[in-house]
Amino acid sequence: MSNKKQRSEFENQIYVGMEDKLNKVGNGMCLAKWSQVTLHLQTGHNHSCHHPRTHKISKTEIKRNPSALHNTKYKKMRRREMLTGKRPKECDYCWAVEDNSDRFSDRIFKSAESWSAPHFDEIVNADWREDFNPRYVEVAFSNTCNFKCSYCAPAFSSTWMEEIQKHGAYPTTDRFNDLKYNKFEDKMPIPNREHNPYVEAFWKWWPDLYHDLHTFRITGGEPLLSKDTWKVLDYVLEQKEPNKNLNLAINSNLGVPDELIDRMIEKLKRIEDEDRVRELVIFTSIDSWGEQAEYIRNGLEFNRFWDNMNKVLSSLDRVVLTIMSTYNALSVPNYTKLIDGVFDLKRIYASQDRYWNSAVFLDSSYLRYPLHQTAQVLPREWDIEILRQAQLTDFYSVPKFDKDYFGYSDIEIQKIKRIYDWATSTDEEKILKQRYDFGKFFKEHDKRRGTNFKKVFPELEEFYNDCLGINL
Amino acid sequence: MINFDGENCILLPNFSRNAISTFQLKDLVNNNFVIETKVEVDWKKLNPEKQRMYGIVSLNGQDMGIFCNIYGDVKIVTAEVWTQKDVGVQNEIKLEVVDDILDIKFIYNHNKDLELVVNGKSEKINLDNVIDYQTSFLWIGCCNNNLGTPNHLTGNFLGNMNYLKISAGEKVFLESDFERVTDYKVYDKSGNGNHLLKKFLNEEGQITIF
Repeated sequence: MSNKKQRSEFENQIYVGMEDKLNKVGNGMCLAKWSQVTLHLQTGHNHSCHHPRTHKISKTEIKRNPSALHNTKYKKMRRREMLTGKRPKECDYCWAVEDNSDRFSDRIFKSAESWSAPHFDEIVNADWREDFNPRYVEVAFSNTCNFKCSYCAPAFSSTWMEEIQKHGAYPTTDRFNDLKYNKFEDKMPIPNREHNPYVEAFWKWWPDLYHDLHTFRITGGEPLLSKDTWKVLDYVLEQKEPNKNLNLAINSNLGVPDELIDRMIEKLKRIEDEDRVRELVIFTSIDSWGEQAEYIRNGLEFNRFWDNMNKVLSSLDRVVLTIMSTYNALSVPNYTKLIDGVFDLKRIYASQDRYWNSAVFLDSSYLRYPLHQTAQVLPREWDIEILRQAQLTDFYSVPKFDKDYFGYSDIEIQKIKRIYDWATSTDEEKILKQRYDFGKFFKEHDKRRGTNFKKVFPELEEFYNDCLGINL
Repeated sequence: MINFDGENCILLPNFSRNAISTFQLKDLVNNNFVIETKVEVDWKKLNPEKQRMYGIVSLNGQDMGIFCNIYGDVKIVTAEVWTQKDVGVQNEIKLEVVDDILDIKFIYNHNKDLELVVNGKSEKINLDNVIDYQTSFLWIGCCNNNLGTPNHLTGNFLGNMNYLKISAGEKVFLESDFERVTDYKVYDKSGNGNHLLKKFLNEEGQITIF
């Protein structure tokens, strides 16, 4: 199907122009296949753009060419398809959007990003066999993590791995977190104590990659428990000619020992003071408030986490803190308190000196998997509570999104409203199995982890009992 | 409590930037509704030579709502609504009051009648062919502060408002005691998300909707 669409003058002309340029190369062309990569070094997987599934990196390739962490043979074949007018099958998310709506697909948005668009000519004029240094790199060095959040998985958390190795999969209908899936997809994480050839290749590639980078984001596991995170920070600090155009971002659960938090602050403060990067952002996570947040993110000590957010924001004058909130069924009862709490942080730490317009962002995204813990699983009378939360962020909104004002931006409000829209689109007839799994999962959770669902979530006790009573 | 000093005002537009309201203004105005408010008027500062009326609660256009002014020593509270047959007709109830603190009720039965109650004193008029107020904004503490409104018609109020509730039958549309506020908004307790906006002007002098 042709994806030539009629675009009006009211559409964003940046996207209209990029769509036109890409389609002149081919209807499947997307710069992100060159310019962006997420590296899961703990499993030796990568993908360019988060929509396609990850694929395995060849150990043989990276021995002679460490940039094959990104420039894999597999990916080069996809690039060839794109340059010759074909649509790679792995990018079917975008093809579905383009074939079934008039919306711009993510290939347009990602190609128009400042880490993609300037490299258009360089990319389309190069041979598909050539290596290309990505400008936007996300990397997980290891799955070492002291948390085992209820919706996470062994590939991203060593404590989850320990639990599953000891007790096996959860007794849900889909056998949640069964290691056989990791084995089948060759995604068993390499333990931190063992030699990791992918991490070794990364460090060989890094001196060449570093100066080309637009954005570098360290994820995990918990990055502050990985020696490689510290190595990156030290590298940035030691450079005589640092890449001052770099946007550096680090994820952290802010629940590691104090000495590691202090060490991070000390290094980031030096990077900030010495103007070694364009901007510094710390991404952290919390999905509710107090004891309920602790239940969802096993390992979290809520008060210490909140103290650490205050410590980061008061110690680092320019750094921005983005809270990636994975909004799930257990977020619903108490998310209002989180909205209030984040607003207080925005007010206290608002400053003209921050890298971004707001000191703190609450980025609320709905949990899609595991299905048994999504916001859709709850009875529909809870939906209005989600809408009230969006209305509360609207109350705290700003007339104009710039440094003179503090409060919630439209995107923060819209992301919560989107959760409401999504929750209300639930097909009630299909939800029974998910509710059955909800009961099975949290009953086993309480048994294994010594938690008490009914005590922590009294608002959901009746629903939980109903789930436990379901017979499929 | 909120103080109006003759410059500030608050408003509820007939749309919201984030489309977050569950009971929109345009769905209220063509139905029966009741406005209840408690205000303290700073009568000494009112001047009919400067303002035609001072707005307490107003739907702008051919203004509909609750207004006040003083003529010599005579303190007047007015309820107003416009109807249209061949020409527009201004329909008013004027009640003389003696107090500074006023409990006001504006009881509107769409296309039927309007009753004004002030501190227990009341008057009612019949209505027909009321004009469409769906494009109006709801203004609190003025008649209309949109860009281009002549100065003598802005009607910026002087005094305090302690309470405001607007309801349609059993359903509350908007309710506030003005205790929960940010620098930019006033909280609506109704659960409809109709948080009131404080007046912010953009570079062109237009009201910012947010």
